[in-house]
Amino acid sequence: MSPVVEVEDLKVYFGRRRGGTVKSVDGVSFDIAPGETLGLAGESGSGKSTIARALLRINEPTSGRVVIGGRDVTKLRGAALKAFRRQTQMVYQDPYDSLDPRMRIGATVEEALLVRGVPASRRAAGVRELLDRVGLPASYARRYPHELSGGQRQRISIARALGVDPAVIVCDEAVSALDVSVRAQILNLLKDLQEEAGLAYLFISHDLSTMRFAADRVAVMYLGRLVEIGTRDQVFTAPRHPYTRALLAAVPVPGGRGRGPRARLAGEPPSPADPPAGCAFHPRCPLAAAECVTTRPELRRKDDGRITACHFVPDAPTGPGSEVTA
Amino acid sequence: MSALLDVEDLVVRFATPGGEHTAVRGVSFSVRAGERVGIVGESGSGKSVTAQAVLRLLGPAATVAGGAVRFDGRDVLAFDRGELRRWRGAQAAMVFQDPLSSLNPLVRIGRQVTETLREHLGLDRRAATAKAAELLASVGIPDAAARLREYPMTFSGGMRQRVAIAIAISCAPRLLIADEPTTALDVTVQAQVLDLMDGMTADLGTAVVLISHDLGVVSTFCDRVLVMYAGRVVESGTADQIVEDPRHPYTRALLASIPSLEGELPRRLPSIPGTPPQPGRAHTGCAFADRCPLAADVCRAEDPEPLELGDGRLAACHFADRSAG
Amino acid sequence: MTAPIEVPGLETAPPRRPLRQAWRSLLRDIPALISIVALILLALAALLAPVLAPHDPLRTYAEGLTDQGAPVAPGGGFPLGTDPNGRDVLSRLLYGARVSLTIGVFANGLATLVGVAVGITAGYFGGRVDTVVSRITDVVMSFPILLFCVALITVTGPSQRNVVLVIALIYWTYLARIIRGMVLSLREREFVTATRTLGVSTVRILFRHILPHLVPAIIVYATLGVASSILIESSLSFLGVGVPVPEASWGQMIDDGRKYYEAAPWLLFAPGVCLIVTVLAFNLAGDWLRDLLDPTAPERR
Repeated sequence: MSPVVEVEDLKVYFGRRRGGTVKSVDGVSFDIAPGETLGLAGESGSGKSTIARALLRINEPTSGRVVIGGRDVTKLRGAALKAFRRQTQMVYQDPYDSLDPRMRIGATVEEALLVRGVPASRRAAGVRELLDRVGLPASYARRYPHELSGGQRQRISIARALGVDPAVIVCDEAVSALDVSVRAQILNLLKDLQEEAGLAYLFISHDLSTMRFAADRVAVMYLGRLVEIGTRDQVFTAPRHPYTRALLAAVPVPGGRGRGPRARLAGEPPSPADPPAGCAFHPRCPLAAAECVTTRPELRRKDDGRITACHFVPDAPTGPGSEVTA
Repeated sequence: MSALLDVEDLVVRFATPGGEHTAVRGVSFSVRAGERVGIVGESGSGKSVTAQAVLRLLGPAATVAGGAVRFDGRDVLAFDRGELRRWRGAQAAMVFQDPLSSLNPLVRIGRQVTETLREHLGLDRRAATAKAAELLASVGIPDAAARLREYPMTFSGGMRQRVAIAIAISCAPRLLIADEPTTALDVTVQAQVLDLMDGMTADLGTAVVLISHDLGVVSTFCDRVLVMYAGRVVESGTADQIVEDPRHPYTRALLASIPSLEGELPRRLPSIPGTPPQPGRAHTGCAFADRCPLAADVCRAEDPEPLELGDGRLAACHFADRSAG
Repeated sequence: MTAPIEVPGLETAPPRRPLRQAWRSLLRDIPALISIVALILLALAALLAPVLAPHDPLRTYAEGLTDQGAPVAPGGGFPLGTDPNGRDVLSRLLYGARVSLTIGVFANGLATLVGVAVGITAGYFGGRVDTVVSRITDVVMSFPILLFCVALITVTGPSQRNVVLVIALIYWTYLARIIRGMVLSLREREFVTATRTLGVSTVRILFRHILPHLVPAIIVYATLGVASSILIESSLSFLGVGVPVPEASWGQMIDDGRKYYEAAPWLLFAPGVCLIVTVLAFNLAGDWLRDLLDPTAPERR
């Protein structure tokens, strides 16, 4: 099936007051097929959220192409932009800020139907149906957001997104603010909706165990660039890039490890305003060599189909427990 | 062995415009010298309030309505202001989730570190500054002596948490309470900060109470784990016991709802229906009964008392002695 | 149904009852309660001035002057005495309340309307509009207000209409600034972004999602603004460039009275007390509304 989202060499730069530019996203390419979930993993400052906001045209891309539903959306204006907005929706991180606190739930959801041009006579039924799809009783339409729990609010956000009948939903840390027990409910709901409607998801999360459950394929970002992209099993079972490995090793798993040092990486991600030369990861990388300081590795497909951006990724597949040695 | 910290039947109430509610409903636990105890729970479980009550940091709306807190056999709840000042910082210290709120943004890092040293150790300015630089270096801050002159804003989140830890351990306290110390940090930085806390407290023999919503963090750091739900400890035991053989249905469900990083994944995650109870909502019987797969009539009628399961394990469930279904 | 329904945990949460909440807080705040009562009485007095006034406010009564041609002291036929022209002070006060309130409400209403519209436009769209608006407000706010008003009225000629226009011309900048700041931060809230990416029209976003959040602030600042407008009007009348004579205005009555201060102190005190009470009442009521509606604090939950 042809992809519903194609991102090609996307760059999003921000000018700074004191001069200079921050290359928040610096040449990222990926695609998402209908019914597929692409996970976007990385730490703060990696540019994950900027990609989300560029896809929705909240932030303007500096260059590159974003093709959604066969159309480059980066240049759309006016009515064409409004029409495009219906194809791509987002579920936001903060369930307390993403709903208008002065609007009843019903009115918030109804607004989506209004945008889609559903006539007034059919909107009440439409709201009931949307609430039902996200697992809430119709009586919730009369409530205000402050009367709902975090999980219930995220359900409303999802209902509002579904209201315009989108092809793509971007989940930007959509479950990160939720309690663990509620998080699982929302993850299940997202999966059910995907199967029902063939939705494509861009699932952004810093939480790797959530990512493993939600994503079909995973792209790992570091400082505005992709360092590895592959199927879920490839990335989680046999990560190639030293950063992906370190990231996975740092996740504390219940009962997963005895006492002993956890950190594989020293230091913190550098500022995107002042990225290191060569491979941006080299100051923290256990494999770093002279080549890494001078030459930036491009994202390349190896013989076995694995895609990474590293000078030293071995061609032969490695097992899950294998260590990165300097 | 006598306990360093002994909390007995602690009850904390909050006065709100909507009336009074009980956030902590009879929590008991003890921490031995050098021991690491984790408290896990979701929002509203009362885990942070418990920590604040122990260190006497509750705000004006909250009152300790019952129970006892003893440190080394002394009644912490009866401390006067002078005793409290001498105790906090020197013997018992705290690290918070957001170091930006515990560090004063308008005061140089150096002064914030030396303040505690001068107050509790009676060092003069020069000795305190030397010691502060040493401390910052020991928590892994490069070029420590120079960075003493900087303000918190110029430090990254991980670096600020390192400073907060440096201040907390500066007087070699016997107890450190850390409330979600790594929640705001990236996972690779979280690992560094946990390693740091690990090393520093092991060297000093400091006991740690680590509070987190993340069972992974708590179970890999602590010797013993308490699981809290709706203001009560529903289960406690060693970290291995809790993770490998949870006895309370809430603990079981919590563990099951975290997707694992390896092995087969279910198509749907086992989830706990419903939402955690609103603080202050009165209920009879077990607070978890509404969401519990095992709930029976007895659960809705009677709040279960903690049941001794041998090996020092406790679980507050009418069905705790039955093996996991 | 695709997922388990969460336990309806807040079925019993009380619906919001703004009026009842307002009444309760008013009972706890005695100065505010007194202010509201005073404002209601004042409004009634202004409205019913033709009925309540014992005399014609503009007419010079023969018995309103002593044989020496001095004003009559309070008591007798003139409850608050007469002025040097033999007119009834009480009647003039009642009609003066009409003038003060009319000018206060209209001048400030106009300023509010313009200020809100400009503030929202500048805050939401930003860019060049914002720059221009911000510079204009900077310039207007750097003038000494009273001097500016006097100068303008001298040019346009004193009349009630001109006083209203001149006050409005100055005061809209204050509200525009406040509203602009609020809209700047509202615009960045996630629910506004979410609505925008839904494809909702800008007009609808402004009216349905931005404006409702500004209403409390507008009410509060409009209330406080009435007090300021009344003060300006009185000052202008006091300086002789406000409401033209013989129309009664408190400021002009104070001006008249100050020359006879020693002989007839009531001439100064009567309008002075009215002015102070009115301005104080508007300010206290505004403060109370601010606490009640708390426009700057985060959303109440």
